[in-house]
Amino acid sequence: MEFLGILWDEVFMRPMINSLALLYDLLFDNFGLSIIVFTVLMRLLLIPLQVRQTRQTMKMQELQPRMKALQEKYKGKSQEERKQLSSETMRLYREAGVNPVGCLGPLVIQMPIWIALYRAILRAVPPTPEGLANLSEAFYWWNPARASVPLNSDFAGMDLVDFVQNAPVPINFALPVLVGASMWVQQKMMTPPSIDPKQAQTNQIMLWMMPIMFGFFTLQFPAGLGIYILFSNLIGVAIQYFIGGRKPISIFGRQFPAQQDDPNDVIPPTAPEDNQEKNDDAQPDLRRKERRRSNRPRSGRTGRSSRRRRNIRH
Amino acid sequence: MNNTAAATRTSTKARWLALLGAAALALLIAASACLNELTPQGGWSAPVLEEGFFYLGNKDGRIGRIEVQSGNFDRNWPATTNQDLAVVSSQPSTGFLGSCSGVRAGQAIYGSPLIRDGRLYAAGYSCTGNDCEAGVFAVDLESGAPVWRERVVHVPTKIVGRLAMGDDTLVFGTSELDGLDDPPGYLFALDPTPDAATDAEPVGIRIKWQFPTDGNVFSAPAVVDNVAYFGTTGGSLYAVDLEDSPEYLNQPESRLLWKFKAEGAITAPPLVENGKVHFGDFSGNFYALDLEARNRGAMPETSIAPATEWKAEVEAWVWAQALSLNGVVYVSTLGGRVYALDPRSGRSLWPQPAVIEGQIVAQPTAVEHARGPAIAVPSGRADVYVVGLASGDIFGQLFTDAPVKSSPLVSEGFIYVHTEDGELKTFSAGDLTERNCVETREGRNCQ
Repeated sequence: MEFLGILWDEVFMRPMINSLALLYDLLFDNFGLSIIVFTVLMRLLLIPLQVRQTRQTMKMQELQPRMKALQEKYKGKSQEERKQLSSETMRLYREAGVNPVGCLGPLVIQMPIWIALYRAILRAVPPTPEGLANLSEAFYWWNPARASVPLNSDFAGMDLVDFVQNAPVPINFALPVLVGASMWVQQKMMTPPSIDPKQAQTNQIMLWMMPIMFGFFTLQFPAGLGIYILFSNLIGVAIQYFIGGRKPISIFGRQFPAQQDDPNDVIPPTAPEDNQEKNDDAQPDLRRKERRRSNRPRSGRTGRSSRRRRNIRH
Repeated sequence: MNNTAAATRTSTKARWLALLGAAALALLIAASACLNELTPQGGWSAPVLEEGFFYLGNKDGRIGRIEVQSGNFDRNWPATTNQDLAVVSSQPSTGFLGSCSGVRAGQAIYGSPLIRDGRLYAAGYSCTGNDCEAGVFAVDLESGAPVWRERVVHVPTKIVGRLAMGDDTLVFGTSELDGLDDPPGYLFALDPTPDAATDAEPVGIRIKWQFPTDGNVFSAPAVVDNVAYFGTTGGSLYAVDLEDSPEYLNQPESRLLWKFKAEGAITAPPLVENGKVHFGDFSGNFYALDLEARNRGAMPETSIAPATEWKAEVEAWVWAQALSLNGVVYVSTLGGRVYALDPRSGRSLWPQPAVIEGQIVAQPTAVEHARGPAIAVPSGRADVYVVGLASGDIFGQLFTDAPVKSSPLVSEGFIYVHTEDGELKTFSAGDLTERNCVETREGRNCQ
């Protein structure tokens, strides 16, 4: 058990504390900036994982018509047919190089980081004399930030070590809401569409439950961890946007980011907005084919959407 | 469509597992608000010997009294049981999710009691999140009864260093008030006389003044000639006049005689001796400043005079007060090293520093060992090391099985050690064996 403690300290805690303190030293003695830059660096380190996940999601999307066809083929309820469907699906995944749980990678990897960062923040800016004395053991001998201790944990009107619920109004409300909202957007972008209604329902529950839950729990986190999660989500959204082919995200019927209107791109609405959004999720492959056929630039697609909105209003 | 594919089910299950995992993680993080990192523990109070009794701050935030002769805990002394003398009540308030962040947990006494003129003065504090409340109290040494009408003076801050007494003034360092960061610390001055408070003005009148500082004041003030010397986590060493002079009326800042800016935070209480003030900081430096030159105002705040002052490098942060013994200054660090320095030049007198396991948080104590003069060095990991003064050899260990963050007390051939987990152990100075142990909260003998 002691060995695990040492391992945890050496692999997670000390590198994190030293990084945070070093960044603090470099970034004008600002612990908030230190956490934000640390977040950026962590997300950059995790980019390969996110790229892999995005590819998996895209492959899953491409497989949707073939999976649908398989389900049509084995739509009987017999044991044999279910087995067949299962093995065919797995074969399909294998051939396409898809791992159905692979998309959870970044989330799983982030969990120990959150725990370690929580502890690292409290240890880097300890509220007790014991903590301050113990901090000396966490520093590498070469770290010039040793002389900067105690670190000033004030940032944007809040104490990054204190719990978010103790932050002044409106930060104590705003930070959990922002954490929840940013997590929702990220989830929305990362959730692979499904043609299976059960799966789609699960996705929908996840899409709402995780952000609400994390927004709620953020109240009980140190504000520094809240800042980390918020910026981690925002960076995740940005990375997802770029590696996911700069596809806009549809939020409550609006496309983000807003696209430039193409005067030649006038297509009459074919379906109500909500249905279209559902279709966007469910039939990306068909959309892609249509796009290929029409040879339109990608931005035109969302321009079409905004044009459609305007048409509806008129 | 009823035939959901196995893989899809796997994916669904994995997502639910991830959700559960995330919920468990969040709960884990929320629940770990109870971690020790957030709660002041205390247990750093060294025993003080006075008229046949030891007095020390226990981990319940009260003062315990133990008879030296018998080693028995004095249960009849009121301060051991009187709840009023506890710094604050430990009323739990239901916090969000019932976590510890809503609980006023722990009443920590870090400083040793101060005994003057038959009275004992002590302070401790507890916190809820960043809101801390400290209490300073005075009791009659004989009866244990409160000396002050208001029993406890409450200040919304942390008090870590021990109290000190000037001519007519009780002083102590604090952190920021009410969790607000500006200014980040104070030197508080109280009127210690029993009749300072009246029925009409029982609260507040005892506080004479409060001197703002550039950092938390964890360092106990050293008072010499009615001047308080103390360091701050902002890295400054202050010399503050404690005189009750009309020129300072409503201008506590004007009490500043001089200030020195070190390279790191200062939590070590300064050692003032032979016209020099010695202290270490968090940059790994140990300083000796010349009081006369500083009092004349001849020295700049940020530099030292090479002719009369010096600065020596040590390998780690210095938290403990230095010890001056037979013309040598002994400096202990949080890296577990003890240095013997020449007080005139700062030159090291041992070929190598003595090395012990663990941090050294408290000042070592002189002890006479069979192999020669030595110092008893408390280790923040466990045990007390007996280090020979001649060359820094380790003569032996007092096995405490618990961290020691208070100075050992040596009296009549015995070494008394208050461990961080609240036991007072008695060792023979001759053979370093344990002779007695008493638990300082309940007064029971240790198991």
